[in-house]
Amino acid sequence: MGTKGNHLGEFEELVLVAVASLAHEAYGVSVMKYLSEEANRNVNISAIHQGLKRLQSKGLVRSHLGGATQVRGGRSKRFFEITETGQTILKEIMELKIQLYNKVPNFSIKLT
Amino acid sequence: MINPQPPSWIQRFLNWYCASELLDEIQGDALELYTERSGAHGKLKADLWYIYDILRFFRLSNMKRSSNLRKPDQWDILIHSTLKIASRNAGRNKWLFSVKMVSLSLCLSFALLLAAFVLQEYTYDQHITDHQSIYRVGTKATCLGETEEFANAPELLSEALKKIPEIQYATRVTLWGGLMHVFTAGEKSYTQEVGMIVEEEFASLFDLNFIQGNSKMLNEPDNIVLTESTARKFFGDENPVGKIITLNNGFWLDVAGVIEDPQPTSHLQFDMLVSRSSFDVQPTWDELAGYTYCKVNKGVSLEVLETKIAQVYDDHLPEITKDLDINEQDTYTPILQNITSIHLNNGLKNDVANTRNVVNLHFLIILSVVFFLSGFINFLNLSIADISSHLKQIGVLQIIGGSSSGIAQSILANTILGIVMLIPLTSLFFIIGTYAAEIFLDITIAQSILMSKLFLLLIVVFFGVHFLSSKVCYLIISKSFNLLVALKGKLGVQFSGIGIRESLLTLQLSFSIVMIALILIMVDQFNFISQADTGYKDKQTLIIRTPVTNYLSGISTFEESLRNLNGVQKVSMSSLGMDSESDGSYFSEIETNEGMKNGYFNYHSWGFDFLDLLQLELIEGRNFDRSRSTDRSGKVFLVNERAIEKYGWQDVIGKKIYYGQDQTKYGHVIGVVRDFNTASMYKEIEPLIIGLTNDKSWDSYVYVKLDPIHSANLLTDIEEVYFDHFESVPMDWEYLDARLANLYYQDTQLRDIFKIGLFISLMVSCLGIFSISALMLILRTKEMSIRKVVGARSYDLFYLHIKNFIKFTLLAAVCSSPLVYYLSGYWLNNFAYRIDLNVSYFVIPCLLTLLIILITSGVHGLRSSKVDLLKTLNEG
Repeated sequence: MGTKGNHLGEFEELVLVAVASLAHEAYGVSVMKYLSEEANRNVNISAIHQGLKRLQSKGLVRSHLGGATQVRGGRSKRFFEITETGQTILKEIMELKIQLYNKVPNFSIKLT
Repeated sequence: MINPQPPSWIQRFLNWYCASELLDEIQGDALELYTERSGAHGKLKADLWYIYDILRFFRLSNMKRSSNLRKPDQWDILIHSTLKIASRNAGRNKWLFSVKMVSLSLCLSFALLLAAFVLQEYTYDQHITDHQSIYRVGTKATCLGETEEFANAPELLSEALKKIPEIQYATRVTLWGGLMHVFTAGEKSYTQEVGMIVEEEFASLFDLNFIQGNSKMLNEPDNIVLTESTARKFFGDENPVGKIITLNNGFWLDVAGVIEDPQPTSHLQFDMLVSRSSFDVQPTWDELAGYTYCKVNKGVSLEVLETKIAQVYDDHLPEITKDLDINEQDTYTPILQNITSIHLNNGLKNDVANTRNVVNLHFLIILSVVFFLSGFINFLNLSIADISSHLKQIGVLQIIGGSSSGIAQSILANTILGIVMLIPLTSLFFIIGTYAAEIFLDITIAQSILMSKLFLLLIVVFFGVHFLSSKVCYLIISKSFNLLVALKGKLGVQFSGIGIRESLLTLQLSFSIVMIALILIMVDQFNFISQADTGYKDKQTLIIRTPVTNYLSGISTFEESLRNLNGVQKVSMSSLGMDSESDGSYFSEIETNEGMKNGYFNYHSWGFDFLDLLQLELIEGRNFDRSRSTDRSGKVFLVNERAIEKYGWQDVIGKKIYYGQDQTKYGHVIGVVRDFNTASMYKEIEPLIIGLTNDKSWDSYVYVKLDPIHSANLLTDIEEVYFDHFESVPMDWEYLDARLANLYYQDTQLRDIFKIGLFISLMVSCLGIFSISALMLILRTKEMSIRKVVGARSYDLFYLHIKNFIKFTLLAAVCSSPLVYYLSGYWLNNFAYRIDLNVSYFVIPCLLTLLIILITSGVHGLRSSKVDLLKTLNEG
């Protein structure tokens, strides 16, 4: 699979943030809902799966199975967790962006 | 409350494609969303949404096989080990494996051979550069409301065509056919060679390659150009150029050049070319002689060309119909044939080109496809049988490999192994096939065809489809494979492939039935031909060709000496060759009660004894009579019934006939002969005028009727007499019945190909039935035992076993009947005289197939009826 270096796509970044912020409750459906509620992005569940798979293959998240429920027809969930690398990358991206935005004249973001 | 469920089909679809390790999360998430949506938006919307989601999940990375194939290390190991397993399996089941491979490669190579042959027939004359712009001009004559189509054109047409600006050049070719010409080179004489009279343009038109000399030689008088093989035959290794060849013992020709042999895929086959200027004959408009070819400029449309040439015909109409009363409606128009289409068009009269009946080719194409399919079907059948009996092994393999794609890979490995075996086997059969075709069927397949892009493409397609077939195989199995069941050794609870295999079997059986039926019909038609009333007796009759030489004065003495031989009943000369080649229509004028009429007649001549020799029947008037001086003068004719019918001739005896435009041949009718076939049964009997042979008009053939009981030396005696008269000219003779059988050689060829095909097809389907039958025996042993326990008798069990096969034969019979009806009608339409179809042609093949099935599956049926119930029941 062609991973474009270690760069994260915009969508991948969103998914990664979602995984990080959902902490131990991150799996396909919850990530999808999070994105739709918090980021106003309505995406298909298959796209979420695809994104998660890619993140895992880049080593930014790890996963385990568990939590079968009746609404899922007895199927278990695959929970995702952000890895150390994932956190580092997320941080780097954030810092890089702020650095870049700060160089834009007459433009500043207040970080609280 | 029970949760609402999405449609089951989409669930099955998901289960089918989705890799099992991903199934949990995908289906789980999708179902969770479904439950939520069905609460919020209702079931319908949720259903649609769910379907959409599942379809979106349908991507390569979620699919069963690809998820593992992507990992290169595992792939390497698996391909290595599975290949090993596949070849070990093959080794363990040598019999099944070799049967599978041999039958598939037999079918494939047979299909490929047929394809190569068909391809060759369709690419005739395409080796000529600019073949698109070369045409042959024939003539369509409408006379007295009857239309006749000739391959040849008026002699002077080529001259007139040269004046049309759209035409680059035109040329006329005359073939020496019918008569037996004697070529003498040095001491030896030859008679089998075909010579053509041509002009310089012929060489450029047909792309002739001169090895010695050049095309200018064909303009000089008394020049002859030999083909390479003829030159070698006549002069050995000596340089032929400058040597002299004597034609018919009175005409000297200088060998001026040597050309390469004509391509085997050329519609004109010849051994030598003689320059037109060697012959001091003034060409005319009123004789259709020779074949006119022309090459048109690039971009000239066929319509334009046709109108231009039609104009030429119109302009010269008075000359074409010279001295004949022209009816207002009589027309002469050109028939334009592209040079590449001549070979597959055998409907024209006076055509000497090497042609083939296109109906036969269509049959060969069908046969090729059928063979390809039945090879393919049989392979699938046997593969499924093989795999289903190895389910346990596959199960073990899965556990070791720990992957659901184990079957896929083991099948892939099987396929690779198969192809590795298949290619050399198929090539071997193919090569044997080409030699066999050359020896037994007289079919040569040119190297250039085998190397052609189209043929190579065909091979790729053939093997590609085979590869796909193994993929289909995989799909069938992976859909229904259950690891646990397989490991427990319970075959066939969920999977046996029986359903698919039975429908494949039905298809294959239909093929067999169709082939048996077609062969029955062909054999019957040939019997019909050989026993049909041709109007004469062909047994115990020799037909000897006589050379055109200056021995002519001796021909009646030759006849006389033959007559004196012990064992010879009758001898007579005739121009009738009893084949279509010597068939020619001539314009004649006849006297009727309504005045003079003209039309096309076949004209032939024969001697006094010919009627008795062939036991032809006279229905009116009298035969030629030696004792009458009017008869000896040659001014008397016989006609056949057909001539009377066609022209509504009444009181025919004594009526005058003018034959030929010069009116030198005229006379009156003295008798009517009952219709007889002068050519093959493809054609209707034509109106015929028969004149009397005399010493001045030599005829090509001498017919010799032998006593049914004659000495074994008679043939050598006849040969001695022949050499006494014709010295060194080799004797060219045949039995009449053999000569007649030869007329149908294209169709006998087809019949023979079908026979071989039938043999292969039957063998292959027997194997298929046998393997299915064997599998059923294994699957149902326990069932049979239980049935026996509850009181079933042996023959009940036997019937139970073969019931299915009978059902499928009947189904196949129903499927195949319309096909048989259509195909046989198509083939029989070739013949003007043919058998009628009846029910037996449909019933007998089915009964035969049924019999074969009973025999092949009956073995297992018997075994199944004699099942040892204690043993089987104890095992379980």
